[in-house]
Amino acid sequence: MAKPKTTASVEWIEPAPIETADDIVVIKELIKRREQGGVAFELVVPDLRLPRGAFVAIVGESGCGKSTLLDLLALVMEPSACTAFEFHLGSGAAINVKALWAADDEGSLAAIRRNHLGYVLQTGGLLPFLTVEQNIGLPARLKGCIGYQADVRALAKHMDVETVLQKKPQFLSGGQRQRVAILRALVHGPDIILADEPTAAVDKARAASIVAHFCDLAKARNTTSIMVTHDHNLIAKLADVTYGFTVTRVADDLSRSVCSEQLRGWS
Amino acid sequence: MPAARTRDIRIVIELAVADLHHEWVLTLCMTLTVAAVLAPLLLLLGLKHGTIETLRARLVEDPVYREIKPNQTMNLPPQWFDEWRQRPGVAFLLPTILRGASVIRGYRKNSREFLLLDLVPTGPGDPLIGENQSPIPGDGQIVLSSPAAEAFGAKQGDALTLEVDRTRRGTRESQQMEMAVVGILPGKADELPRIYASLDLVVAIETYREGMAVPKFGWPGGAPTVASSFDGLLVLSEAPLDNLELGSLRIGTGFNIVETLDSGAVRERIGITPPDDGWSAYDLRTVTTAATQANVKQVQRQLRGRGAIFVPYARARTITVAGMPLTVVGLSLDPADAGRLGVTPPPWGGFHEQADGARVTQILLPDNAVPPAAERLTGSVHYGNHAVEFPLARAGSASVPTVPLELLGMLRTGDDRTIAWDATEQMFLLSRKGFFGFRLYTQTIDDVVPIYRALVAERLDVTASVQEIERIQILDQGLTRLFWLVAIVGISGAFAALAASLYGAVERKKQALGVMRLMGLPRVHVFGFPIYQGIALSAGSVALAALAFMTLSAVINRVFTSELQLGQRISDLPLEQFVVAGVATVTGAMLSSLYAAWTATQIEPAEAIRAE
Repeated sequence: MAKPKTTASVEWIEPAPIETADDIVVIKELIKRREQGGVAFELVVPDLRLPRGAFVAIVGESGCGKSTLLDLLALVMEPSACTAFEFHLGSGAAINVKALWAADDEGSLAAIRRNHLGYVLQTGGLLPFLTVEQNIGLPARLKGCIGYQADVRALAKHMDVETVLQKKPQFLSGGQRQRVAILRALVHGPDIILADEPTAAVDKARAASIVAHFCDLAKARNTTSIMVTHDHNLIAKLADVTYGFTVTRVADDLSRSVCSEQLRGWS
Repeated sequence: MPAARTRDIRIVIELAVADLHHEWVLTLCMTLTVAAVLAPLLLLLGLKHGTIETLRARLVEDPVYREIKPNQTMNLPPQWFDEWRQRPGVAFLLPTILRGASVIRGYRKNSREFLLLDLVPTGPGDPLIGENQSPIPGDGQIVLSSPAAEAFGAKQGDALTLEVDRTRRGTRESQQMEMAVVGILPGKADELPRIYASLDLVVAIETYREGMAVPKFGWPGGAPTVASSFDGLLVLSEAPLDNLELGSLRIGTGFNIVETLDSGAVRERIGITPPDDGWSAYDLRTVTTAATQANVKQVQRQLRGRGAIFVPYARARTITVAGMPLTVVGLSLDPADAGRLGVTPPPWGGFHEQADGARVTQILLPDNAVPPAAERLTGSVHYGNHAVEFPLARAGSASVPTVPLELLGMLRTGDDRTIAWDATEQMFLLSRKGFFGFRLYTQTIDDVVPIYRALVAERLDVTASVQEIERIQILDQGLTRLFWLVAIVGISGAFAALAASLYGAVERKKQALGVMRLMGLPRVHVFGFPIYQGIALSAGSVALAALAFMTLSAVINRVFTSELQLGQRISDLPLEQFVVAGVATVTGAMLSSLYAAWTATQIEPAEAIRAE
């Protein structure tokens, strides 16, 4: 990919260097451009560093590009341009995601998602034709984990969904579905979990509980969690790092959202 | 294949089947849809196969349907039988004799009552005998048809007396044989009263009836000598015959043509020239057949007392003498007649009907024809690609090569019958002239039509059950075309429905498929999801259709039990056709799912996620 260029001039501002623990995700000067109905939207990420094991919140209003950023991190969306996009996973060597996209190496990207990422969708994203137990265990099966069944039962007990393991998702409440979705994202021991507004479909009281459980489980496994939400209050006390967006209307047909670190309580 | 890929395929198959199970109502409907098309097709195929095979079995079982029979008397040389026995498709071929010559008397045991029965030759490999569980009769043995056995009151193991008779030189002669009955054919094999015996016995009976000896059985008789035949008769008269006399020569004599000849024409025929003064020469000929001594005697009776000279003749022919081809005339003239004509009589004199070999094998040659010292010569005559050699003794000189009329007459008979010089008998003898018919059976029912057509192409008038067989073949082709017509319509509809169902399923499961991609399943494995569902659905349909076919088939066959023999079925489908139908159905389902599979690969994970 070439030096990123935007449709209007962007001045790349080097942030002040921050001493961090090792970063699991590093993005530099990334741009994602999307167009719809003749109107363009640019997401600009000058510098993004996610510490290993941290609970990262990505907060913003609707349409600011937070879900787009999550898709980019989930390796399901290709950046329009970037200088660096790397995963520093447990094995030590960095994975050059930029190079993988440039080579259109879909197989490697899918392997990274399978082995190193977990995903929690807004309404769970459970497969309706599998039982709860089968849904939770599916990522572990795809990764080739052995003996995951015990882990599934233990996690289910922890999240209070043990009694519905043999049921299909259609028989679960919203909260139960989200807890199951979180377990599914965790069971195969990923390095990173991405949660896209996981509590959007549940009430506030349950939402706080779910997020708290999610955070506890992730931290207990030293899993880096990245949670997208529009509710800052939900993550205020839990997030180690928070990223936000500044949206500006550059032109009549162009909006630009710049993602930047708002708060870092990680040490 | 790497373990991870195998694992992924297994997981996708399980997910596909789990989805079908989850939407069991739709799955059941789709399975029933395909089964509802497949089951009637299987039934149609089974009815076609069962019906045709039942009809074919009925034809195949009965060897009568594999027989090709001559419609008229023929003259088939032994070489024809040797050649046709080698032909592919011919299972059994045996010559037969004239119908009239094959009738024989059979006597009941210890009785003077007899029956006249037809004698039919048989031999090893005869399907009519062998396939009806009867042994082939050898020497001293016979097999009876069911009506013959009933008429004789005979059973297997009994002895019957057969008698053959003839009239020879005005005397009735007969021979009897004691024959053992070794088998009796069932009624359906032969509905007429007949006796089946070895070809040797049948030919021996024919030979005996012709007045000849059969040394093998110790039956006396003559040798098969060759009688002379003529191309015409010359009548030489000192006074011309009037019209009445000429007309009478055509009545009751066998001669149709009476022609007046000049001396040159006479010389052309018999090698001598009658005197010009007073002698009239007439040529009597038949239109089609050869003239015989009997015809000559009739003319002699008509012109009795007229003082005419009667000289039968055979047309001059080429005889190779000592390697030299010579055009030879035949003349036998007694000295008295020769004197009247003013010619030198040949040394052998007049015509003798019972002339011996030494008398007939003489020749007069021009002086320069062959070296004078060569008294004992060899003559040969060619009949097509067959040559007859015989000895010749030089009896003197003549300006035109001349042999006894008896010799030329015998050689002329060789144009119609096969003759050979027998060194032992020192005489020309008749060889077997050929057989008048045959019994022919083909290997299979499918060989009948081509063998029949090949015989017709040789201008042999034959009959076979061609129409019955062709009817079955036409029926088979027609049913096959009908089946495919129905099948194409039905199959198209079923697979179109399946394709639509699988495509609709992919559209409904966009999010689920997107989640599977999100979890790390590559595009290629997601491609397999609808295909595995197609295979599972079609396999279920095949099983249901097979069950329906077997049930309906059993009902149909039970209904028609009374019309069928043991083991036959009206509805019957061989296992291999079942397998082919199953494989074709599954293959068709896989092809139907291709569009849905391609659609599945186009689902981007991000798109599916946002669809929430």
